[in-house]
Amino acid sequence: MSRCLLTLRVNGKTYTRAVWAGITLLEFLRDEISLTGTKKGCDQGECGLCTVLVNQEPALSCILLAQEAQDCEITTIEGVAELLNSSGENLENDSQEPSLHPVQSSMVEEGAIQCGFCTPAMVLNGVAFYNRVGDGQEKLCKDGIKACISGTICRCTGYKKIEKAIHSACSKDTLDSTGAGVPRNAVSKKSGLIGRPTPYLCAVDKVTGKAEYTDDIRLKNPLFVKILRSPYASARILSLESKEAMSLPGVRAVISGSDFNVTFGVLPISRDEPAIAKGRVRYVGEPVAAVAAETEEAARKALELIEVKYKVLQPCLDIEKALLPTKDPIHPELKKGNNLHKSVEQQFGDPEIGFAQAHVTVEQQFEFPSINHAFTEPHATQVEIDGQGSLTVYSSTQVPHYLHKSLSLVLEIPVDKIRVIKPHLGGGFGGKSDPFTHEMIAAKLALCTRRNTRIVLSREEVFQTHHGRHATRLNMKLGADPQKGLLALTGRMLIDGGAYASFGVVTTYYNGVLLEGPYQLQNFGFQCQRVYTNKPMCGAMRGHGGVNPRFASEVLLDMACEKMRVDPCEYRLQHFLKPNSLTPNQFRITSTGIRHGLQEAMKRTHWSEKYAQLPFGRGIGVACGFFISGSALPIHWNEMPQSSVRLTLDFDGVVTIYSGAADIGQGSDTILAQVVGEVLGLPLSMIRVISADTRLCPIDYGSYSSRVTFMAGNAARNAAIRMRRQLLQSACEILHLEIPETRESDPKEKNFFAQGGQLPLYNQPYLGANPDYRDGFNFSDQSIIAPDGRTLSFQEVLVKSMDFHGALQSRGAYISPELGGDFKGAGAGLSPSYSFTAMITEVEVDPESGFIRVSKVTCAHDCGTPLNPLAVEGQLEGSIHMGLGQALCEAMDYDKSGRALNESFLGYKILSALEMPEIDIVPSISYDNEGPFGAKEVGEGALAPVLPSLANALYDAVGVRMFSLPITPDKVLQGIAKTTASGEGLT
Amino acid sequence: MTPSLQYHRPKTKEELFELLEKSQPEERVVILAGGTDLMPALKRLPLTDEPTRLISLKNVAELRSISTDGGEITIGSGITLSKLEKDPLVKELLPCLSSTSSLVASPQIRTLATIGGNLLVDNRCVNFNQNLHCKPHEQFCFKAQGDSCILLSNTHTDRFPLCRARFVSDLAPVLTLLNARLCIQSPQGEREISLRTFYSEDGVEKNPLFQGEILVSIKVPIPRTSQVAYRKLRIRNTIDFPSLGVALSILDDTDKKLFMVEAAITGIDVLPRTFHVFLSEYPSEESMLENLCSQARKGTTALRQDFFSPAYRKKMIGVFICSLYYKLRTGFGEAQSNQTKGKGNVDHE
Repeated sequence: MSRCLLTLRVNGKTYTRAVWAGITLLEFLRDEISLTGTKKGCDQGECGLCTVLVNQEPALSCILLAQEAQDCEITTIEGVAELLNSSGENLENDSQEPSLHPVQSSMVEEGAIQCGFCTPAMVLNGVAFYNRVGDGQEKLCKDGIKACISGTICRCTGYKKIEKAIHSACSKDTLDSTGAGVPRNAVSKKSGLIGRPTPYLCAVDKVTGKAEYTDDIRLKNPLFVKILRSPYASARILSLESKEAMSLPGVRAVISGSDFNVTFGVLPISRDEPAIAKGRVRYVGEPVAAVAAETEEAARKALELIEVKYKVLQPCLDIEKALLPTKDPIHPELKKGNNLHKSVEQQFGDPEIGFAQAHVTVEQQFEFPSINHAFTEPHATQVEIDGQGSLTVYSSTQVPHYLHKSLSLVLEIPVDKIRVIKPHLGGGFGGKSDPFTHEMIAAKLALCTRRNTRIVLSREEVFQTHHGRHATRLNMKLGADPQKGLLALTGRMLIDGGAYASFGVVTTYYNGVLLEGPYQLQNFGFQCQRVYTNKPMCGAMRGHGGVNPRFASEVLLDMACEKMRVDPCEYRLQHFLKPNSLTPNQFRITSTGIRHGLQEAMKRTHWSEKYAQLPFGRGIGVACGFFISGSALPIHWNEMPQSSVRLTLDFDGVVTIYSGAADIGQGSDTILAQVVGEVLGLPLSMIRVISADTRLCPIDYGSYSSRVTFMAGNAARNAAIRMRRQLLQSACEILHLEIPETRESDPKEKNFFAQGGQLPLYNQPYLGANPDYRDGFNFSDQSIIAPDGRTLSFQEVLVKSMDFHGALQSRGAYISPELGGDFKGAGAGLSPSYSFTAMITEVEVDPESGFIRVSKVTCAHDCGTPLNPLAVEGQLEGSIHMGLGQALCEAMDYDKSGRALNESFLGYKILSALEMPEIDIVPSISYDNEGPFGAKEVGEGALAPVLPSLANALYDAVGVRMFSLPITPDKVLQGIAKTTASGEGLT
Repeated sequence: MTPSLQYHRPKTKEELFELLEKSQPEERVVILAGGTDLMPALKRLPLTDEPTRLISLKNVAELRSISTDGGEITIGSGITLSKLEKDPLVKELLPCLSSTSSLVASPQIRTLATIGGNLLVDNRCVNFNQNLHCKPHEQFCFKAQGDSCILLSNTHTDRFPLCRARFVSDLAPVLTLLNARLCIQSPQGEREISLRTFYSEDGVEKNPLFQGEILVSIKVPIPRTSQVAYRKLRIRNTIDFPSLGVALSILDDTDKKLFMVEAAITGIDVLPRTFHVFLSEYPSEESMLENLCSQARKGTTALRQDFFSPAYRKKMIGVFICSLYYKLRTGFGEAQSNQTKGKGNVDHE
């Protein structure tokens, strides 16, 4: 072992460290000098997250040896603001506001930050561009900005707000006639917090590299955990020898399957996954042993010394074959004789009668590969153990509560011995909503060794862990009538679950039930089967279960419209679900703004002048969808509220919100603060959020199924109203007024906001900063105004309230009203409210190469009343980016042995800024009575219609129907050749 | 990487060669330029195969210059791609080389990656560029020191005794058509090889460089009567290697009454392949092009190693050749008038 002295200049400071010759600049920055703002996304030079400036030029620090950076000026995110200082420019730093580079402050103002994991890299790309523009080396133009960030992938934002932020930063000095440089907040006239474009509370931390993600935490003297993974998709473990590994210096523990007694899984009805494989392995990459060692190097060496003997079995990889009888099923404990995991069948009305009456009937088979969430932050977990053996688990998880319970189950220790904390999280999209093997393993090793442990998965391991969208083969049939609408829809879906259950039972239902909107549909039936195969398991991913069937149904509807010779937009407009209605499977539709949304989108795109009238090669297409605003039923069945929020208010005048909800970059902490601030008339600076810590925060079911703003938002509003009530009593005492009669709200009260005879106010957005809380008082700008106009300061009322009581506290909760029918599976897809989306996509197709250029996506998503328009737009732009990726190029590629061939960001193609179209977002204008301040879901629903609207636009452009994803240039070209040969379909 | 790794950063070629001469045969010595291709590869190696000695070319100033004697340009192998893209001399005299540089990988990679590294970039295959830590040894292919080709396991290995990993340099086809020569030096001496004969039919032993030999510079004759253009196939306009790259040159020498079209194909076969046609041998431009396309399609082997299917990539060879040809031809009038100034090149994309 030889260390050498290495001196580097970083952010204007000189650092000398004794290091191994082989460390990368990224390792030097993160591990040697604790500048953890620079992120590790792939460690292979493929994702661009580790970008730093080397002599002012952006470069990848994960593939640059630290030694090679000697004699260079290195700038990391931590030094960006200083960079500007040293160059002599003045920073606006007259207040306590932290000094930020113009690119940083624009990123904050424009809402260009979601999970924030790519933010440091994006800022540095932007700063380099800013400097080039300043020096006159480059012109400020959209293409230049796209190019400057094209080497860094972002999974949240669709790049739109990042581009806008860099543009506005660069044009701040020069007067920009387009107005693109005007910060968002400057044009907002709204008072109050709801409906105001609000940068995230954590935005400044994220844009300066201060935000700590799980792997950035530095526990004392931790052991490094590494996992030995199965090279085979299906095999018996004959023996496992770890003596040699154990005797390696620095190795503290080696564990295997026999160290665990209990299997786990996110759904209590299907806990089939072992923390470490016992007896047999079921997919390539399944853990077979794990090591904890003093150094990463020792852990890695130890893995190479563990000897495992396997008896290789024939893997089951095909979804049809998985249904055939077999003597050796993947899960023999199910005693099924084949690899079927779950089969669901539901029928409403009589589809056969519907088809018999239909004017046209279309039927088609569709095929979808599995896709991955590809969040930028790899899974990471750190475990801290105290003297009593209690664990604090820091983990990159969407659902601290489920992880908490699963750890207790698997480790066989009581829940009070475990605390789960979610630090900042770099993207989830459903991919961090299960409890994971590496979390169990790291915690187990901490218990075994009584030492702190840490693990971060490599990008390859992330792809092996997978839990992505199910590969699907489905057959769907649609019967329609030009006047009477959709008469019948049936589907038979076969979905590839991979090796274990994960969320699979829910996915199986969602594949069917999420077809029941957004159109009126009387006769509907589906059968969905989920099978086990020897591939990494699939689970929940943005648009859970609804995306692939939605593609099929919207393409079929387009085909039916063509056959009926009706305009697909006009036809849809006539047959949407109505507000205050029930679907056949008894989903309660409260509000829907989809009619208005589609009409507006048609207007903005000049639909009626374009559809079926564009020249060959150019096309326009439409598709719609709907989605749940949180599942009405909890996974872990109980009668507790689905969200609870606690507030405290102490002498400093700051309200602290305690919520178990996990902000995973969607901005839920900010939403909760906005809600509470709105009710109490406080600015965001007087609100603090403590969330996703199972010791401090009340239970929340976490961030999945688009539930947090809706459910935790309602709980927060509820808690805030109760605190308002306490303050109001004191205000009345000071003013000698009678306390107004208002009813205490009950978390089980169903339509809380519709009480008092108020009917749904469809199409009436929440407008004011001072809503009627039925108490006649006005709380705003840190003051409390009585009905008679007398005004008290918030502080003086607070002091009065605290007299004899001390700090104020309140709690609020939300539980979904009882909904749904009483047939089997009636609970699937139930939600207190549903979002709706209408989407129009325009494409240009090169008939020579088959390449599709998506030129514009117009999205009308009915999320009720947007609470934070910046976040709403961000969610929609991100959904469109992810939807386009699945439509055009994303697919997991498994070979015949069950090994993935593209476990990397080079192999798995996430669209860059350069492929992203123009996006036009139609503002949502509905109001939902059940949602907080009228809000509904926005995180997932807009994804599903992206894919079929693109496919329908492709048909409009070149007359080619696409029934499988991804829609590659290859398939387009084959399609064009076919249609040209048969002389059909050309418009 | 292994803690026992030794790192050296010589300042001159002499120091470099001294280091190379001193290295023991059992040492695993690796020469490091930009590192953008090498570093990810090194990270994937099993511990036992990791290099013991890294020699960085970063400080060897002689490798970092661009010069011209009027007849040809000499480009140091250590010139980064972002420099190549922006260098005024290259931009003026070899515009296609400059524009092709901007199509390689991503901006952050071009900051580090070098022209020499691009020419020596390792061949790629889905069966090799993956997680070897978690792969059973019986599935190791030629390139991973195994004894079979996974891709062609169903066919006769006698027919394909060599690795078919595909060649992915964007610059090589352009420089090939520009008749570039490589200057190679070692402690034993110096030699020059035409880029046209540099690459081999083996995806493992891709080129004739011996251990200890250094690619020092690339010499490119300034084109007088020809133009070159390049088009790249990839699903994303950044980061990705070429799934196919076609460079096309038109040589139109009115004095010699010579009109030749030549294509060089990358990203698809194990090495860049060139094909050419003379207009004088065909009744029309169209039939000449048709012949060139069919030569190029027949003369290259495409395997399932990439996002795009082999059939599609081969089909695109013809599409790209034609689009490049007409692109160059339409820009020809203007280009000819500039010929004396040496501004003959038109680029694509």
